Amino acid sequence: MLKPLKIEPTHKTPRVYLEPETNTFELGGRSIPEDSVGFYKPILEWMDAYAENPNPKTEFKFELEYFNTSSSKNILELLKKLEAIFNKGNEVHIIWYYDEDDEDMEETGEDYKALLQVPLELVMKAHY
Amino acid sequence: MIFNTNDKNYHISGPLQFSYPCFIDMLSNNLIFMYRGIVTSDLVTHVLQIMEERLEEDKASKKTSKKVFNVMVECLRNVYFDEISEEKSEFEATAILIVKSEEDGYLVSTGNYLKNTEVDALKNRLDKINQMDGEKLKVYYQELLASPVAEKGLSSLGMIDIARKSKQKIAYQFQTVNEFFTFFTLEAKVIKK
Repeated sequence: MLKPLKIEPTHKTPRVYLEPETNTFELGGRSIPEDSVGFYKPILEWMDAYAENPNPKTEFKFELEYFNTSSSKNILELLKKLEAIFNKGNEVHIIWYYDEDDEDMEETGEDYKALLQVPLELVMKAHY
Repeated sequence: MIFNTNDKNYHISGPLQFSYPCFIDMLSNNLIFMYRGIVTSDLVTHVLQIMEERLEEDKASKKTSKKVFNVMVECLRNVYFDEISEEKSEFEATAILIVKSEEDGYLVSTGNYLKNTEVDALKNRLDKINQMDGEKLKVYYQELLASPVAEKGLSSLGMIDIARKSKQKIAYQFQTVNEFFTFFTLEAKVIKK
């Protein structure tokens, strides 16, 4: 089985946990690296390897706090990889979380949803 | 400037004399952050950390802080100097960043030198975005997001992001410095919520 990919978060880069064995697929936190292409390259490569033999069902959680526009294209690429897995007949469910007071993150989720055919669910995180 | 050099209590001279007028100037204009220099990757990290604290001190709501932070990230991208891939003189790489707290919002402003030859193209892109309403900006954003073309520096995608998040027109100014350079000032306002 494909080795999991775990990247711990920093002030500028998100946490990335990709572990097929436990069905964990998460990207969360901040994504504002200057070199977003360099940061996302290993993640996109991992996704290519995963796409060769994906789980019957993949649930990918996006829990982003902020991201810059240079990351936005890489995030779209990542979503497109998930779409390709979906188009091959696998079950793929993408959850895009946003804070209840974060209309911008909700709007960005809608932007992505408009550009994709793969199911993307927008989920509000309420404050308690 | 409020500071009066004719004040009889004013005895200091040399570099010492700048601190107080500068302080008063920043205070009276409610400038919560100011930096002049080269904006490198490490600097951006530090600026963002400081700004988080400054916004908290200024009692900005979480919602407002997030917007200011986002707008700053894109504005800094505009003046960011990439040590590895860019060949620029120190003069060209030096920029200014100012954050001003106003009654109803935060002003984020950056300024930097551009070659005179770069002005027209940048102005056209800014004007194009400033003419769009929320719905048009959304459509244009999605179009650029899906486009395979990678943009450098202040990208149109970045400008649209600033316009959408601030929900205001982007204010800008070009001041010709000499036959080679123009000083470009960009200003975005985030309304307090």
